[in-house]
Amino acid sequence: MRLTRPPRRQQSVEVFACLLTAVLLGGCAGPAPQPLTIAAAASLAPVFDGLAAELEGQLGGPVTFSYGSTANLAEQIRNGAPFDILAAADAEHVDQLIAEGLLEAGSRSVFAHGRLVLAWPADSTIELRSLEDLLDPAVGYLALANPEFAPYGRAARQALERSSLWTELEPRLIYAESIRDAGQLVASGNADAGLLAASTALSLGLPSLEVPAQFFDPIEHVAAARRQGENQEAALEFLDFLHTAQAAAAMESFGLSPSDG
Amino acid sequence: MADLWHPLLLSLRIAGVATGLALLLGVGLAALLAGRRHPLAGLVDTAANLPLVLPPTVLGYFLLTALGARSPLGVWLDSLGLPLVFTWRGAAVAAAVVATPLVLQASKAAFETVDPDLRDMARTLGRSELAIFLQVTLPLAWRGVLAGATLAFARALGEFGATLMVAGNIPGRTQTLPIAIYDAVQAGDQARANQLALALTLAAVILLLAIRMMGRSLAGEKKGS
Repeated sequence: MRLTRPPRRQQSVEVFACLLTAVLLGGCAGPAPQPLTIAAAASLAPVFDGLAAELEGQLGGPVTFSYGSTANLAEQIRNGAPFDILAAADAEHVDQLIAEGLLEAGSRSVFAHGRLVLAWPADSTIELRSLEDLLDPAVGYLALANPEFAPYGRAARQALERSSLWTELEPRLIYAESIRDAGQLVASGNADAGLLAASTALSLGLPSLEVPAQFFDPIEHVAAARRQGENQEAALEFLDFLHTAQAAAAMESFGLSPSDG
Repeated sequence: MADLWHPLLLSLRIAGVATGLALLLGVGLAALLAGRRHPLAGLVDTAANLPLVLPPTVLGYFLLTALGARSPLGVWLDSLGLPLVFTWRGAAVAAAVVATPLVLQASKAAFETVDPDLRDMARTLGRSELAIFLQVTLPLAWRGVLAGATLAFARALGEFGATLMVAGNIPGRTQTLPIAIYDAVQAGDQARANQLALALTLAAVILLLAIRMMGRSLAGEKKGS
C-alpha cells in the first residue's frame, strides 16, 4: 500500500518539474524566420562586429555572425550549416564551394585584402623592428594560424620563408586553430610574438609591425551568397554593402585594405 | 549583442533533453545488460561505453558523418523538416551520446546490487519481466539511476567538442554557454567570458543542488511508504 506523499516535498518536486518543462519546451515552438546568418573568417570578426549596428540598420533586421577558420566554415557549409553567406579569408574555399554548387557564382566578389603584421604582447620588454629580430633568443614562441588550412597562416609561412627565417624559427612556432586563436596566444603572453592579421592585432590592442606585401601572396577576402538560400535578398544586400564607401572606411579603420570597385 | 540568457537557456534545454535521451537509452541498456556474462552483452557494453573513451572531436566527426547533410540519414531527416546538424537538436543528440555511458554505468551497477531472489519471487507470483523491472528492480535501484542522471546532466551541460562540430557556433541558435565562453575568449572579450563562466557555474551549482534535494525528498517518501 502506498501512503500519500508529504505535501511540502511533493511541491518542491512539482516546481522543479514545472521549471524543467518550461526550459525544455521554451524554444520548441514552430520555426521562426531565421536572421541573416553569415559565416565569416576569424580575421573578419573585429570588422563585422564593429559594423554590426550599421548593418542591421541598413538591412532592417538582425544579423548573426558565426566566426571560425575559413576551411572549417567551408566544411560546415558542406555538411548543411544554415549560413546565408560565406565571407572567407581566401578565394580557394569560396571557389570550391561554387564549383560544388553550394555558393552562387554571380554573387562572388573580392571585398578586401588582408594585411599581415608581426605583433607582440603589450607588456612585453622585447621590441621588434624587423622579422630578423625574431632570431633573438629572448623571443621564445611565435604564434601563427595553422598554415595547412588558415589563409593568414599560409601568408605567415610565406613571409618567414621569403625572409629565409623559416628553418631557424620552425622549432619555436605554435600553430593555432584560427587567427583569433593565434592572437589570443599573443595577447595572453603565452607566445612572445605572432604573425597575425592586422585586424586581429588591432582589435586586441597589440603593438605591431607591418609585414611588407611583397613577402606574401595577396590575402583576398572573398564573399559569396548561398545558392538558393532562404535569405537571398538580404544576403545580396549585405554583399553590396561591403562595397560601399561606408564599409570601406570601417574596414580600413579595423585593419583591412578595402578592395576598390 | 552581449546576450547572456540565450546561451544559458539553450544550454539548459540541450542538457535537459540530452539527459532525458541518455536516461531512456542508458537505463534501457543497463536493464538488458545487468548481470549478463554473454560475450554479446560484453560487446554491446563496450560499444556503448566508447563515448567515454573517444575524444569528443572524434565523436563529433562520427556524428557529422552519420547525420550530416551528405549522409542518407541526414537527407531523410532533412526531408522531414527535422535536420539535426547545426540545430539545437543536433547539439542535444551529441550531448546525449556523450552522457549515455554515465547513466548506463551507474544504472547497471545499481541494478546488479538488487537481490536476484526478489526478482525470482516476483516471477513465481506470475509477474512479467517488464513489471518486475518497473516494480522491483527500479524502485530498489533508483539512487544509482539518479546519480547517473546527475552525472549525465553535468556532462551534457559542459559538452563542448562534439557540440561545436555537430552544431557549430551560431549565436542565438546553437551557441551554447561553453561555446559562447570559447567565442568570447577568442574575441579577447574577457568581461563577457567572465560573465558567461559565472553564469555556467551558478547554473550548474543550482541544478545539482536541486537534484540533490529532489533525491532527498524521494528518499523521504520511500521511508514513509
